[in-house]
Amino acid sequence: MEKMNFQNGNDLLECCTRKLNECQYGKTGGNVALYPTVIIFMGEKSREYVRYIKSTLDDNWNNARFLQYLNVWKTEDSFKCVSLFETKESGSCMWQDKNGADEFEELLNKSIVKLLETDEKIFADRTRVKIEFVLDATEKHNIPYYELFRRTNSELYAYDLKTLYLMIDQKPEDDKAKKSDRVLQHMINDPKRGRSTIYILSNYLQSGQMLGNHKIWQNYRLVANIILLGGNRKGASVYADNLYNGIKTVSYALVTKPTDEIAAISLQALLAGMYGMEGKAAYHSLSGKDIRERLGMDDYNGMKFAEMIFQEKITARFPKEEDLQYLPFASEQIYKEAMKADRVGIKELDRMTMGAASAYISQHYGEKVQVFFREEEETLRLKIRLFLRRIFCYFEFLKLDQMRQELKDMIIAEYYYAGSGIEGFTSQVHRIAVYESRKLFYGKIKEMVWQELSKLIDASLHFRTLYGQCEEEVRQERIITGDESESVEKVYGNIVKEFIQNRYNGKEGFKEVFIVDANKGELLQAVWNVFLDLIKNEVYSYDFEREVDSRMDQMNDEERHVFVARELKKKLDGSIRLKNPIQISMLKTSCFYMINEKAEYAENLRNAEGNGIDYLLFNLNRTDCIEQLELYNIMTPEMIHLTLTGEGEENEDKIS
Amino acid sequence: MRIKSVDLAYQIREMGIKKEGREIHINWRFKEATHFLVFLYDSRREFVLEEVLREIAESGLTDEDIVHSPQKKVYSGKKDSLKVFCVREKEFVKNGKKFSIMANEAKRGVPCTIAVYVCRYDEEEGGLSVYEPSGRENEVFLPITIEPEIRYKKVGLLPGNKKRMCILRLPYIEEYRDGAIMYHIDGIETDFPLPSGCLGKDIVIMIPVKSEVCIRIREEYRKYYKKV
Repeated sequence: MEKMNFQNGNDLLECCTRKLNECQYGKTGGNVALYPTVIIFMGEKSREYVRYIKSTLDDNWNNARFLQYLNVWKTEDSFKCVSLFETKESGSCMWQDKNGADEFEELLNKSIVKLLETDEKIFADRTRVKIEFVLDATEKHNIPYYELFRRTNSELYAYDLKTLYLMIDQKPEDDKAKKSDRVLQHMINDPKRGRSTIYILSNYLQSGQMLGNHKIWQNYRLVANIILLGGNRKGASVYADNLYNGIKTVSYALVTKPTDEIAAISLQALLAGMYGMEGKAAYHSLSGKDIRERLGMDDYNGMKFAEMIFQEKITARFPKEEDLQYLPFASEQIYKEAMKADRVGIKELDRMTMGAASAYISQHYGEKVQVFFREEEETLRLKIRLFLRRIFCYFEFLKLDQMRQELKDMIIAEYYYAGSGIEGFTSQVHRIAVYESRKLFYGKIKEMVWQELSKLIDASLHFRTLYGQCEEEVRQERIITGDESESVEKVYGNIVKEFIQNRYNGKEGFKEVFIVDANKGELLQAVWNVFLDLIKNEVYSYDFEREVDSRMDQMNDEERHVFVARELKKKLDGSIRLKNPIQISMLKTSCFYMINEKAEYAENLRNAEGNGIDYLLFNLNRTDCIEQLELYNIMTPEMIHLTLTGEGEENEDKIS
Repeated sequence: MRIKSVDLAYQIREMGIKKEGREIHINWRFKEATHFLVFLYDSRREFVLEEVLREIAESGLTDEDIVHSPQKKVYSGKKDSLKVFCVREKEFVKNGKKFSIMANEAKRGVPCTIAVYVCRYDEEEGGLSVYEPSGRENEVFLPITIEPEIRYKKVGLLPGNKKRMCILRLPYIEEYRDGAIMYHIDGIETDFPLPSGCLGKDIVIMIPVKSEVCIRIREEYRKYYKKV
């Protein structure tokens, strides 16, 4: 079982989503990066999004692990730089510590040399180096960063494929739009700009849609797509021409299998369904008689479970019964009387033995119990807990909460002695002694049973709260988007329902989830394990088209193609990554479909008349989405003004 | 007097006790000291140094009284439950590192503890400082000796009788702890604890004919009682 470290429902949901995404990658296709490539994140803000770019490049380029990622930031008098590295333990990526930073030029040159030193098979064309700059336009030193981009050239090459991706933020708050506009104006009016390749990617789309924090990652994925298109070995010359030189923007449509939503709905349905089903299975009344039976209580208020321990641990240590004949007596006469007596009680015994009988019983029968509890309390409590968890399930503990006092009275009711027939002296005394010992033992162990039971009932109440919290945390993460949500909910809700039912039919249930004294991490781990079982259902690994098909009432091929085309168009319209107060002249230069070549829609596009003319295809390694990009040259960049007044901020930084 | 926390320089080591005739001789080793306070008290009572020193102070005794007293014994508690002696270091050393008290200071029939505390007397510093011990090496016990009377008697006239009678008598002990004294029978694994009701009288025990009876003291009570 995969051991995870979940803190809350959000962590669990993220993991579930990630797991579902893992199923979506085809075998690594034939795409490789043609040129050695360095991706440079400028400032603090853009570097947080490195994973959206890196993951897309890693998924699609076989040689992506050789690419270099740098982060540069401005200091008082220079630019410092660190690189991204992969941790050995988890394989995840992290930026180097800033204390080990190099000067930017130095590290850039080292990175390029590293790329060039790779085996000749890795990068087929080493006559050029692709350098990709990503800059959040709201960075404090946005203009110096732009200047850095403009003047950066590798010491090894006179000509580099250099691109700047300017991530614009057009929100008015915190002067974000003003800051973005400042660097834009500077760039547009820069006489030294020449034919630099600059992509303007705003969070404010032409349609008026604003990409919120939960969707801004799309722009970074878009950056990765442009890098793929511009640097791919296959179709290099075909793709390349329209991707460079000038100020550009992009419209972008992403039609994807709603993996996030599938994960959220499945998890939500699983949590609710398991709880409902387990509760139903445990639904029955729990009477006092039932409880006594479960606890193994007899008519004398003894307990089978406790009695076994008493026999094993206590009676084994008792002295021999016949030793009782050596008790002291007040006189020979009294001794003879005692030996003949039919029945003796403890009071009578003490009278005859001057209290020695009680002293003997206390030392050799009573103290054994005391010592046992002193030495084995922890082990005993654990045994009791395991016993109670075996006889009652979580839902039953909740029920027991409703009858605590009755439960307590039942459990700690005094153990009593049934009496016996006629026996000899030593047998009688031994029995009295054993009874005293047993009474003491039961007094202690029943108190312990009650305490542990009480703790388990409290734990079950706490568990109920935890479970509710997890459900709420998952529910809050789910963003309901509309029609699609309805069909996703319907289809995956049913899949989960069936899964749960099958588990019960197979008498498995979900006992491993409802462990009463589990903490939140353990509960989430248990749910995760069930989720892994759930997603063995092949539906979860359907590619985009099959998935849509399974939800949309089994469309035929043509209907499906129409559906996909409609969805793409719907998302593409108005999705240009720049909203300007006045219209600016743009020239559409190319259209790309990024789609797995095995998808039926890809086949459809390949065979259509427009292939190679109106659009080009790029084989995407993922099977859960279709992406469409339209690239635009901005013909009149001087018309771009993000703020209505056209005022930028005072220029704080020197322009070199 | 004030109590000082443990200081390794002011500790009692290797304390020993010897009874010779009417005297009890106590010896010990030490590193630093100006005086020693020797406490003699009933072992069955709880001894809390702070409370004892307070009791002494409340009786009107000053530090100067204690250190300059011509008598060894400087204080006696209620009903002689506690006796306090003060020994000057110089005298202790002169006496061959031995301190002696009369045997009758220890009340007959009462188990006693003798505890020695190292002190430092400094007039300028405010008087007598009594140092806490690091362990229990500063204590010795004077348990009371238990001398049982054991007699045996034949039971029945028939030969081949497997039992005989043992008549055991233990002296009455004040404030006896039930079960502290036990009797043991040869060949029988279990010991038989005796309550206070069995003391000061003959008790009859039927034992196997070839067995003998002896007494034993339960371990946790060996500082109170010992057998002859």
